[in-house]
Amino acid sequence: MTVTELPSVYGGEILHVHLEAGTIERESVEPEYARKFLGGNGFAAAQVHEHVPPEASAFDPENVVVFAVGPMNATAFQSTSRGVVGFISPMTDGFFDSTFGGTFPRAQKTTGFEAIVLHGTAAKPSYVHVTENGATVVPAPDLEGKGTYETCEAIREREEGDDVHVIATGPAGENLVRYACLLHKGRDREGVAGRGGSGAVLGSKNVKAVAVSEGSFEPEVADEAELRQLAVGRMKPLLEETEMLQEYGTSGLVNPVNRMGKLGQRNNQSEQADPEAAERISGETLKTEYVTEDTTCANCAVRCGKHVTVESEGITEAKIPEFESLFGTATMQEVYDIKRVMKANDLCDRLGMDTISWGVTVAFARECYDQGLIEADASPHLEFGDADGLVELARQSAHREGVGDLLAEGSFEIARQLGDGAHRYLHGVKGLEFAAHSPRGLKGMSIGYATSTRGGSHHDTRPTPQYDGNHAETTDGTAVFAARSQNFTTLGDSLTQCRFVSEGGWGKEINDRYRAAIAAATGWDLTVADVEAIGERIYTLERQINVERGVADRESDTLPHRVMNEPIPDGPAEGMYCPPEELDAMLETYYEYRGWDETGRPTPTALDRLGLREFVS
Amino acid sequence: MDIAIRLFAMFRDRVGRRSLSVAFEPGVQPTAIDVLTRLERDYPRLDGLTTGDGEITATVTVLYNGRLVDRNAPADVVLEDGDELALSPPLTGG
Repeated sequence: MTVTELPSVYGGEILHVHLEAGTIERESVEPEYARKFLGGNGFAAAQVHEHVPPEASAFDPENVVVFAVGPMNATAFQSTSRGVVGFISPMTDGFFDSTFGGTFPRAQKTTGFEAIVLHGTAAKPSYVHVTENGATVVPAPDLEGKGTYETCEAIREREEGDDVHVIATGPAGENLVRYACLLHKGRDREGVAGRGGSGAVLGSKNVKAVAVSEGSFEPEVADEAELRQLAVGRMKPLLEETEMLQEYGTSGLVNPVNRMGKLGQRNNQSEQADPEAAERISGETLKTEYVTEDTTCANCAVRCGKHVTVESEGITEAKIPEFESLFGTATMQEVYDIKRVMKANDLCDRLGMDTISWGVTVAFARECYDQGLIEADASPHLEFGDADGLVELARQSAHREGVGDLLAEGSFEIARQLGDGAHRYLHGVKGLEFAAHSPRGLKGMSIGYATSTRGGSHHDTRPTPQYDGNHAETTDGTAVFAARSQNFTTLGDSLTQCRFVSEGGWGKEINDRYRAAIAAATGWDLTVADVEAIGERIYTLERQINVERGVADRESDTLPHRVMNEPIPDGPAEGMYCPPEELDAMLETYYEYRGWDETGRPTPTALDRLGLREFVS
Repeated sequence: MDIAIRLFAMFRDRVGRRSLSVAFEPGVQPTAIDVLTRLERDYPRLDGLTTGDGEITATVTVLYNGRLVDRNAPADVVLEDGDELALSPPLTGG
């Protein structure tokens, strides 16, 4: 289908900011480009593919940082309030998109810029201020060394407006900690682009933050009444299915997932904590003893965000640790002192570090220390169970002090430096540490992680259907499930709809409801197959970027030693793992379904089918 | 015989306890659906939240000794003395 007009939900332009010269270019969004890549994740992948040469590394000036929003932001389609940051990752050396909530993405939408692309490197420490008229690179050496929250507040004060929305790096980003993240302090709640090292890439560009002033663009929906009716019809299931998130946030998963015996402990040596230990770090305990208020992103009824206060730790109205963070900073460390865990999480947020990659990296280092691969005098903080040490390691990692300089490189680089079998203790793939969802206990995660374009991401193939018994303990149909789930998440990240709202309200796979909503918003004539093809096209482009960069092939579509060789030792999931021959069989089916060759490269036929031939070399 | 019940999140809120025990006459071999039905009877705030038409509702995840109970076939799970059922809201994956 060829489209000739850009739907009025699009602001219509992409803003390019050249950091050295402080100049801008405005690029029109072509109708066919929008139809192919939709927005958000799709625009980010297309921009990265267009502008970053395959030989450029993450910290080279040729890398770009793309901030993209979705076509249905600020419409009745619920919770399309997320933003996407796209870049080449210093963790994976491949394409990465990291999403975040809050109010920044809504503000960006009102500028009319569907994507903001930062090129090159600023001559001096700066921030970028975007308005609907363009962008200014503002020198700001005084912000060096400041924390994320502090930076957001300082820029809002300097720009003198409640309509200014900021996303910032912390000291970790400035110090090129590879898993440095970006944090946005919204009006009500925080948004964190946590994974993949977006903060480090921004730091490498000498950019401390991006600020957006609200503009005047308002999206016009092709069939407003139809979209509103569709959205109203999904409110009941949405609110019913997300009740735990409303009450407990994601921390509510700790107790039930631990009870399943699928929650990594002690660098994933086992997968079940004593129930009383799990209780101490659970959502139930957090809600009862520490949560002070619910918080929310723009246009969201779920209100999954929470603030916590811990007076003895000097923590006031801090972001609650998410389930993933409790895995990385508590169970993987064998630390069940929730106050110290919250302190470590708050430090990670303030200093600007991904709690998953940082936590799993520390757990990996602790096992290497335990095994004698890291010298005994390297640090006094590397014993499993050391809660105070955990807090100190967060500070040291962000500032690259002492052993923190090693931890700042991430577990894969540490394993490379240590050699001597250290790789046996890795918990991740393709350079990115796994999230909390077990690659041994959930078969869909085994193949999903192995083929993920982002590495150990739980937002490629989703665990949610697996926790309901689908593709958790069987390989039957699981490779196809993983691929279709990746299409689903890629579509969702291109619509920039919150995953919890998609899964709870609209469905856990691409279906006619999504088709109807996109059609109502854009006026496009679409089939469900067309919509699935959008997700597949973007995911395939991500894969193609990684193939061209030499970081995606059959050899890299793998799982770490423990997952393929050491069954879960005890608990309800005892005996589960993914031996190499099981992964091989699923990979064969996965490649065949995708139309990739036996080496894992998208074939010319597959690229033609998806309309990608002109986009690839 | 006694069946241990562990409650998470809103199920804990509705019952007001973290755990409890459900007793059955000696010789009785209750299924998961029997236990859930008994819970709904004893705790009215659970009414309709765990079972319907012999199946487990979409509003709950039920674990039998940590293993997921098929929501379409809870009668296939036969419990013995000391077994545990855990009730949680559906799990949205982080």
